[in-house]
Amino acid sequence: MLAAGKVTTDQAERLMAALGRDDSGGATTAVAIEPRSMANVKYLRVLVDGTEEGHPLKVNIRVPLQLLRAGVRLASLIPARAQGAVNEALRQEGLSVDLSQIKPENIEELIDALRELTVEVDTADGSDPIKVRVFCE
Amino acid sequence: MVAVLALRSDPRARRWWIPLPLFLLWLILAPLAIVWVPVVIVLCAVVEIDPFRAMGTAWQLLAGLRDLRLDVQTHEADIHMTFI
Repeated sequence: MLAAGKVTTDQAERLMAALGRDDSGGATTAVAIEPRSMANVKYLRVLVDGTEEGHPLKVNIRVPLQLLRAGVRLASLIPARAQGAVNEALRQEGLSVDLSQIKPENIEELIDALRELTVEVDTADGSDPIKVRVFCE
Repeated sequence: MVAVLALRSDPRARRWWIPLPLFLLWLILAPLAIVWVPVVIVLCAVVEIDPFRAMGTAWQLLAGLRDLRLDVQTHEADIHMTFI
């Protein structure tokens, strides 16, 4: 508009300032919406779609996040001396997880991270890869 | 709460639906729970766990089962389980 001569530089400056205020208002609105949408997340979904030895394979799992949160609280109930033994057993199974580090806040981080995750798993027989989708809804 | 289990051994076979009324199970177990509470408190004290936190977490686990859904379809079997 300035280049076209429709507004003066002073008017353009005031317009930009007003837009800047609108931008900041818009950003605030976006931040306000984000936590609400997070609060609406209720389930962890795991969808597996593919073929196994030429036959269709479908898995559809819906886990309430309330159950996951309760599971995390259950893990935090394990006495410290038992956690060492559990950690060791998990390590032997190839899972290097420290139970003492798992806290309820981690579930929120997990939900954040799992907005949408798709993994394609190659099969041993060379057929179409199995598609695994993990997301929260 | 009701759990519904559906099983089918073959894609062409008939699917068996098994409803499990868990709320009836809770009703039956409720008197036993009252008897078991002191035992749970003693056991928690022995293993140094807050008994009230433990019971609260157990309750949350049971309550969290609501809306859990599991569907697995393979060429060998078809399993469906849901908690309502």
